[in-house]
Amino acid sequence: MVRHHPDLLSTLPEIIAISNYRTGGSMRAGPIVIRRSRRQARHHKQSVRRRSDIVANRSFRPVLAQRRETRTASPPVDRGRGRSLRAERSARARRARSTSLASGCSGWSWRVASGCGRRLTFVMRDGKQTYGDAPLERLLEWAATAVGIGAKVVEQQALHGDQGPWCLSIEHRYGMTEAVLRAPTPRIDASMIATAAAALEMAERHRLPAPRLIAADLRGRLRCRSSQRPHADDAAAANG
Amino acid sequence: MRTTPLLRTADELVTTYGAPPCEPVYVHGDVWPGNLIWYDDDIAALIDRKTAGVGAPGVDLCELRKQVAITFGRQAPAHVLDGWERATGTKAKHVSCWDAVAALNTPTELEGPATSRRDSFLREALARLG
Repeated sequence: MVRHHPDLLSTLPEIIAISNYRTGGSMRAGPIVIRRSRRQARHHKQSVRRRSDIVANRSFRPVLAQRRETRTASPPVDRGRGRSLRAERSARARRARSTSLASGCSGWSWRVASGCGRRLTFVMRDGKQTYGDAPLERLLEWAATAVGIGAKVVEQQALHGDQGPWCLSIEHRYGMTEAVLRAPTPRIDASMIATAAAALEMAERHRLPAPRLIAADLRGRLRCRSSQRPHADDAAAANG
Repeated sequence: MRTTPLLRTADELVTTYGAPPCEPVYVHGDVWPGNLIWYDDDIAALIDRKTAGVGAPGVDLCELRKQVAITFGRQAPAHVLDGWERATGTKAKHVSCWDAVAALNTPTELEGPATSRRDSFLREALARLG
């Protein structure tokens, strides 16, 4: 039986979706981030505790959810080596990125299709080229920024072989958030990503037990600047 | 497409039977145990909604019945139906038809004992359909 567990649902929500439409083509790309449940996260990282609150839910528009998480205690400083243990953890996390989204997406390539001022469009297409670091970084930056200002992805892990979805660890001012990033893969096309985003909004609107959507860009009109959180109106405009 | 006499018979019967009339609802589209998040003894959430849509309630109900029949055996679908009816407070309609549809929505050959379990599930549905 499906029952509502408010406490659990407050930790389940959240998806970040980006779909990128290739001009004049049928290929569309887009990742979605779904936060993992508390139970899942507990298995993954015992130390992580979180709460979140949905703060926006507009009719059939990308939703931004803002969370408040247990603020992590100030890390002890290893004065002998002159840097904090937190910095060391971050460094370890960066090293862990060797199993990166790029490797998970081998066979695909990203390219910047257009740039207009601060707006960038990412297009995923078949190709033999490997990821360019800059677009990948931009993509992850967008996903992280949707979680919180100044947030950054410190780790990603493919959850289906070497394909998506990917589990992201996003570090932000209130601690760490784990999320699942969905993007088109050889077995999941962009229309499915868009369907999932719509279905999640429908589920949220009717308070069905499902992950919650944080943000979506269904036309690839990414705005991802480290100092700027993706705005709901931009995402809504992107969805038309 | 490679098929079997059982699947062919079921396909013809389902085609003849047609889609049962029903009030369309929001359907998940891929309800199986791997897409359920449990909290204690309850299902707390359904994830992975990339094939969601609008359709008959039997689509989700009977897909899960088929999945548990394949995974756990022939007794399991009855528990799904019982739980569904208790949760919704209604009696499920056209279960046999949607069971057959769900069973047909599989590859001809599955791995291990799954094929025989699927076929057993399908035979029971066809027997109820007459």
